[in-house]
Amino acid sequence: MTAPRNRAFLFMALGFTVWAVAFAVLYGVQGTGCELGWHRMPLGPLSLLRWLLILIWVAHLAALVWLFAIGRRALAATPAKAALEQFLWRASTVLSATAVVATVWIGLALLVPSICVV
Amino acid sequence: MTDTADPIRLHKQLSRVWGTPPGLGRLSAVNHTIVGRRFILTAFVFFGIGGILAMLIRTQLATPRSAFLGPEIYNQVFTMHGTVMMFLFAIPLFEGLAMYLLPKMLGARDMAFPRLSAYGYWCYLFGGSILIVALVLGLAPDSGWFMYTPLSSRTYTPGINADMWLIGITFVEISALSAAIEIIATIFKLRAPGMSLEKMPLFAWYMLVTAFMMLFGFPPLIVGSILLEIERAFDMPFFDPARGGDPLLWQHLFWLFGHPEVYIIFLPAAGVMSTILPVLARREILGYIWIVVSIVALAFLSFGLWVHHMFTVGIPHLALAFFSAASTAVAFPTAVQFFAWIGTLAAGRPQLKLPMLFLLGFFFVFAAGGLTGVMLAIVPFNWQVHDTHFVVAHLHYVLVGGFIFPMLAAAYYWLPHFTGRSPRVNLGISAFWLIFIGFNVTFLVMHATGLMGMPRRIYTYDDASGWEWLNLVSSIGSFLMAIGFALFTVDIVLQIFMGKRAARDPWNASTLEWTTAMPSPVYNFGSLPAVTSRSPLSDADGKARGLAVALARGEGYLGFVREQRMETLGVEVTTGRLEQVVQLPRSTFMPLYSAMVTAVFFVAVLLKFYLVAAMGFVAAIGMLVMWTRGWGERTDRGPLPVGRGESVPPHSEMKNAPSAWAMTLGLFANGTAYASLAFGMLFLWVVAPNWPPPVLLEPGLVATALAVAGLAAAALAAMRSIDPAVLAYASRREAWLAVIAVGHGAALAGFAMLMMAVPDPTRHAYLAATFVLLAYVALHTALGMVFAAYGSVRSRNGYVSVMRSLDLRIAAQWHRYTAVIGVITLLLVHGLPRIMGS
Repeated sequence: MTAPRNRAFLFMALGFTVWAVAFAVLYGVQGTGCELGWHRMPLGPLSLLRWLLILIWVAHLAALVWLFAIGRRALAATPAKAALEQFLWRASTVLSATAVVATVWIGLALLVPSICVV
Repeated sequence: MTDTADPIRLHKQLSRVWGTPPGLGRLSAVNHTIVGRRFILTAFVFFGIGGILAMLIRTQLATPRSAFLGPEIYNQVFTMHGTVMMFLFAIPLFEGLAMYLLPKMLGARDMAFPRLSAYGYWCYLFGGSILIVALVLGLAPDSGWFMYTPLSSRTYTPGINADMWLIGITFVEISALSAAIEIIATIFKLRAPGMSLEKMPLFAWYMLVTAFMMLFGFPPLIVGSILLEIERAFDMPFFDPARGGDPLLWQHLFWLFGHPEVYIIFLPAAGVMSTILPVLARREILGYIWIVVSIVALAFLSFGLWVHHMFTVGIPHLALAFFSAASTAVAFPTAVQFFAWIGTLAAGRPQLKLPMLFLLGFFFVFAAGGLTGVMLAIVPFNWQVHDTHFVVAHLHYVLVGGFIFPMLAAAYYWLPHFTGRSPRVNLGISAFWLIFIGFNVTFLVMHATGLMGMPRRIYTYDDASGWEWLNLVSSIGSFLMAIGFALFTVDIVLQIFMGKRAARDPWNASTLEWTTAMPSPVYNFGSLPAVTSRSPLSDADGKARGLAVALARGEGYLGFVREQRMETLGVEVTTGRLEQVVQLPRSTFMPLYSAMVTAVFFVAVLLKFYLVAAMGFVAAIGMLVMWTRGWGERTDRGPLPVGRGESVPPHSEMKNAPSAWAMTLGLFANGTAYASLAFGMLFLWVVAPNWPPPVLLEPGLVATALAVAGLAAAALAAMRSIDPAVLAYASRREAWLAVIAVGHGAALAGFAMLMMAVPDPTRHAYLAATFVLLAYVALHTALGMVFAAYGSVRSRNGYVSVMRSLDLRIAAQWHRYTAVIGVITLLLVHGLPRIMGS
């Protein structure tokens, strides 16, 4: 397996792996923060916990956008004749873009409901 | 090697080498065609049992205040119905289908690990039998197929019923995990030369993703089951809130498996859709790449939904919003596949043949189930209908629509391949309409029963509830459906025994399985094809060469028998470039014997004969090690000719042989199990009541230092043992293997000392979790010693050289994993109390 093809194949899983990490970290930090009372610590207009969650969300979005950009560049640089590489990079790029949308979608809630109310 | 231009002579030679002995010798079969068929047949037997249980449920609920079943029996019946259908029917059925089809579709002669297939089958059969015996004896589990604590804990289920579930299902899950590993390794490595990933049949993509989901989805359930069994047997309180446990931990671990499980069941069926539908629509499928993208996206998203089964347990609104969002998002990749299928039908020239009827049934039923799924993803609606018959209706629309209809289509589509026969009397159309109408009468009505407030799992209801007529209609529908399934069974039996001889490729399909003779010979292909497109059977090249005939004549790769060996080809993962000759094992009773010994272990645990269980465990490990006795190469062979003017090395001389992949994948599953365990401890510490614990683990510096030194020595020595300068000399490699064994021995001693230092683990969940984490690593160090000893024996017997280092490389993965996990465990058990405070 040559390196570029190998990388493209791994990239197919990478976008949504970042999504999964974002999801798990957001859920974990939210639960831990609520237990430790971070939602009661104000930091400017928002609580420490909400800032932290938004930061985690944005950081993962940035990572995903970066992955998407890498995929797009690699796809553009792949010759049209290289069917396998074209396929893998195209799939990776679409998956990264989809992961961006999915991460935006799950994180939108960060801006609205109360964090720790059961 | 023999020259074989004559297809008859080639067939005889291959049959002699690949065949299974007759009579009782058939129990030694490891061939994927036989094992796959056994899985499928056994799954349908369990389906029949699950179906009878469903009929008992509907009979009981047909009328109010029915005296047909008492509450105790009813609880066992609905628990076993769910358990049988999910664990003993759905998963094994698609495993069997994958085992039967994948090598034939990919252009290989067998799965990557035939003995593992056979072992998995026997584990499935024995584990499933434990549950059925329990049912017959009136000792079946009765806490629901999800076994929620505390209902399933010893206090409320003091008998053996819950243990039957925990032991039986864990036993069965061995087959699921072994199948997952085998499916991935087979798809990655055993494809026909030239079959790069973008030319792979969509069914293989579906199975690849499904197998990865199984690899990460099943370990949380296995860990949860082990913890619950430990709690029930030894009173270690993982789920008891009075001692720092939490019933919600069980729900998390169960649904971490349970929700992906729905998609694990759906995806293979969707793979069947994507395979059959374009053939019957007479055009290539639309949006191949979009389907691949959707499968991957759906797999990941499905791991972010599990809490939607727990919306009513008291979780903060924000967390509910995360899971609600993910639950709605999963509809998108599913819809992409739907549109690809509809588009293919619209752009093609569809034929309304029998399998197509079932595919159309899928569209209607699964779409309805998907829509109610989106409704249930919305938190306020979910709260309203939680635990009502609305949810029962939804899940049956999803599972019957998303799995059973496509699988019935698959049965009719591939039956000529299985049996070599086509139908003479076609009862299938009547069967379809009875099942379709019966199903909708049963479950469409059930939505209304649920919306009117009828709870799940109640054994009776009042005659003024307003649910009477709806329930009666549901029950009538269910019997109609049962008659449909009976007719399907009769139709299949008639086809098998009285069907006409089927022509090769009766559907005019284009995937490789239709190039084999029908029924398929045990070796699949007289020679292996070189693939140049997604439709090897119908592309210009395939037609011009008359691919099926050319392969039978031995004009492809490996169109000969070399030294009476069973050989297939291994390729590069992405490009499908020819890479290695993979030698496969002959028929052997070892998988059966190993499963029997494994059964001794599980049954002994069930009966609480722990000494016997320990002996069974050691014997099972010993049997598994014995599989490799006399297996391998004692000389370096270098590249071997494979036909068409090409030569490649045997797999024993390759670093990336399928078995190396198997260990990597096995460690992924193992790591997921460990992560579930560690998550459990963190979850309890953060969320559970009655923390901090009354007493903490003492640091134990000597024990910790011994453990760290031992782990480091074993891991470093493992790296040295596969260095070419060491591999070249038997004395050096055996010396390093001895260092590995000593290192693991020291680590084992260290972890054992730490385990003994844990204060009474029944006092608090912290102590129980600490004890189990340490025991997990201790077990790994003990197995590390077995790996080192095994490597040493292999080296002494001449199976290891600079070129043939596969055994040691595989073991080195284990040693490194153990070292990493050991260090993480020490950080957790010593560091967490300091971070979280006492």
